[in-house]
Amino acid sequence: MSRRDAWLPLLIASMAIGCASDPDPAAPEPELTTAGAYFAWVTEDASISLMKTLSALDLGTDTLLFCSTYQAQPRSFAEAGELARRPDLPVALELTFASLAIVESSEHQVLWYRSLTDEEIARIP
Amino acid sequence: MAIPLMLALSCLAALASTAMAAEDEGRTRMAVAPSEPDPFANAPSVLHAPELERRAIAGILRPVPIVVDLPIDLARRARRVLLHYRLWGEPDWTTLELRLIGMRHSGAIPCLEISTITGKLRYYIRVHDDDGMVIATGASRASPYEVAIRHDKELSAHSARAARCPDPADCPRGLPGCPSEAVVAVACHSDSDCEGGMTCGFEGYCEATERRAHSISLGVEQAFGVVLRSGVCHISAQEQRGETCIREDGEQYLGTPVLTSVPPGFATGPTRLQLGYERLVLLDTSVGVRLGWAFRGGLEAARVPAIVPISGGIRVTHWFGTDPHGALGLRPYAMAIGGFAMHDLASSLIVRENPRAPQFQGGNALKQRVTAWRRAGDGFVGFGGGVAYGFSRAWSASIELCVLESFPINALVLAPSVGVALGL
Repeated sequence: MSRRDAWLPLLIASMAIGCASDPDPAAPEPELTTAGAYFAWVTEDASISLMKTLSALDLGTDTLLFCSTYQAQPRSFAEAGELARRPDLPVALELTFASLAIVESSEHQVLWYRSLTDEEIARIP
Repeated sequence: MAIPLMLALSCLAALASTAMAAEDEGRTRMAVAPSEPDPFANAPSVLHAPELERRAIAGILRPVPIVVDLPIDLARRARRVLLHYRLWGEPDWTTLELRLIGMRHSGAIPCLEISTITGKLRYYIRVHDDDGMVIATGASRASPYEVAIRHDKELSAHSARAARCPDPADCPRGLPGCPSEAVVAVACHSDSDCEGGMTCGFEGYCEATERRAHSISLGVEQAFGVVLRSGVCHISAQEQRGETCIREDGEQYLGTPVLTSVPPGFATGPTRLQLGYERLVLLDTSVGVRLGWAFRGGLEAARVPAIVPISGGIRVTHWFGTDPHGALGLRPYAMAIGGFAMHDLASSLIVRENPRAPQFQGGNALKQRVTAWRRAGDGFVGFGGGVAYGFSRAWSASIELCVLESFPINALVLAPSVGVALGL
């Protein structure tokens, strides 16, 4: 292949090389206190509750989570994770409160994330 | 020996219109009436002769000499004087060139051509200048001069008899008094200088060919693109680099993506209807223009201006082969093109949201699929190639692939197309 014919594959290869040289940062994950985070936790009655963090208030000794609770009754965290991905999941309680310490002391898992809509933001006191 | 037929071609108004076409074979003198004023300055001089002066009589086994005297103004411009004749029963016309001897153009229809064929010999005269343009005519193919070729027994008693034609070796073609050189290629300036359905070729000679110098075309083009996709959905890219990311719910994505390395990918572009005109400037080169209309594939979103569907380009095409348009069949080609066009190139990718960053838009999931549009253009340059197939003298079909680089919003665009063309 002559120099004249090689420019196109060299162009495409240079694009790939250029892209590959960019560092791939570790993608940040949502936490319990992240507004928009979906999490599931085992409540006192041993059922799994699916909730979404609207806001977090640091009280010093604990953190109060402002959340929405969903009508779903998942039987496992995996099922809760699938439910969390549905954008039209019906809401049971638009605003409820949870103690971060209590949730963290229970079996729990941050499942998903979706940024808050205007409606959800309006629920925050 | 026959006395040459003398044609005094003149545009002077002073010439008398005398009918002297006596049936004295071999001694016919034709006086030509003055031509009518030509309203078109650049048209050939049309020379008229009264009906009775357009005929003569000659015997078999004799050459038919022709002598032409041109008026001075025509003589100065004349480069070639061609005699076109057709014998009785012959389907085609033969062309001879009259030789300039002194101030007179003369020649002869060969005796061997006349031979013993009786009937009407038809002929007419065309005078060409240096460029091959016809500047004067005497009679025409539709209304030629006529010479009645007759057997000796039909001639007058005092006319000479001829037993056979002279040996051509004794009188080679082209010499004074001898048969004229046959002309194979008639020089021309334009198609109007050619007859019998022939056209003026690029080399300046009349030719019978399938080639059509002009063509119009209609085609459909589908654009694809090779686009860079890293960081295309970031707000800055959407504001400054011609990118637009659209979520699955149809809203423009305005979240905060995590910048990751995404390899370049293929994108689909608009579908265009294209109308073109092309002209052969050489046997193997043409130039043309194309206008297009994108009827499918443009970005339609709120707060995003619609694509300008009109496109246009100028192209130069090199056709492979010696005379590719001179015959039917395959015609491969390569071409270069430049012009203006908007290419909305759409590709699908997964956007990873950064949940820790401030959010300006609700409903953006941790990972979601968006359609990334890149509005490349408005200018482009490129090259390509294809193959056309001429399946009749007028019609051809083609398939081609163009590789275009858009600017200032750049993208590599691949544009295959198919079309048909009509030669004019």
